[in-house]
Amino acid sequence: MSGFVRRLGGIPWRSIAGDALSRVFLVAQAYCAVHVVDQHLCSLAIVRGPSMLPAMNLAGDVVAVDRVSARLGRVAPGDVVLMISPEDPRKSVAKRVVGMGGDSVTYLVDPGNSDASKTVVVPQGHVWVQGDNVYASRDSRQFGAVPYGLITGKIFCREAGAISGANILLYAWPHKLGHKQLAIVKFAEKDKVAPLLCCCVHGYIDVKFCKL
Amino acid sequence: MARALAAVWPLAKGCITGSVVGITVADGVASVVTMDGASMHPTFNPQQAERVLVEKRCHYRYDFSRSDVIVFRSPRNHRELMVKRLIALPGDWIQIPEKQEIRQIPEGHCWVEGDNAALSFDSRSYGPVPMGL
Repeated sequence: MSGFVRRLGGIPWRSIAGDALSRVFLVAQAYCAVHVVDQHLCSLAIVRGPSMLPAMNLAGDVVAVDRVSARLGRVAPGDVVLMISPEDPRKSVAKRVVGMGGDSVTYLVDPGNSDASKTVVVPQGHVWVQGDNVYASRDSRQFGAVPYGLITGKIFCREAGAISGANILLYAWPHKLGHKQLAIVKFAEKDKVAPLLCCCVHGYIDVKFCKL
Repeated sequence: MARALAAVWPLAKGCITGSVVGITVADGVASVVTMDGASMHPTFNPQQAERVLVEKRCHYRYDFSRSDVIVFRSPRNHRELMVKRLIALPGDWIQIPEKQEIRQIPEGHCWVEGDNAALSFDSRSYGPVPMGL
């Protein structure tokens, strides 16, 4: 019994606790870095649904979302944007901007059944969004002009068939001295869309720590 | 040149780390906002520029309750923040005394009003506000 207690006392608890604390800090810093890049710089998203055919696939597409230009207000008619749905704040939807504040927009009210069209003026600070597939899209024709503040990013690149191409690899292997989390998204070349070669998300590696 | 860089690098690393962690905390936990304008008198006094602590954890669950004071981006100008009181949640019916009408708040929207009714530019002017803001 006393041998066990003596062995227990011999373990260097302080240095182990110090090591554990520094690793926790490393992981926390990595998480913060990933969060900042994802929310404020650039992000990847998966969009699915029929409302943006033929530009976007029904089954799902991986798209790259640029958050900087939306924050700076550089969204113009013709851009595809990712925005929070005005009907449900937990959902994000991707639609194309048709008109900015002050523009006058003419749209087909019910394209499947009639030829009637309406013209509205978009209020200041709002945008008019429509899906490319006007027959199967819930957009500004149903819920009106959308305040610009709901736009979270501008979609600038997409890869068709990345989901079915089955090439999303997530590596997280325990290195001998630390953890490095890498997300490599490889794309198959299809449809003459330029492939995004690599999108790496690095954890913050402290060089001093690795030299132990 | 290399020595100057070596001297500055730990400082730069500390700044970058600190700012990244600070941005994450401000986005996910809480941040501080300076009040401006008289639309929430007497809750917030316009003469002293008051600083308020804004809690961000509500974004994960969207469980707001009536008469919370909330901060949101203005529907007219996405660069401005507005501070108002939440009056009604989606699906509620409210009555607007000035216009003598009764409206139902649509899904995903909420009705906000400032405490100082005379000086407040709120939902009575621009309608229900989407909760995403």
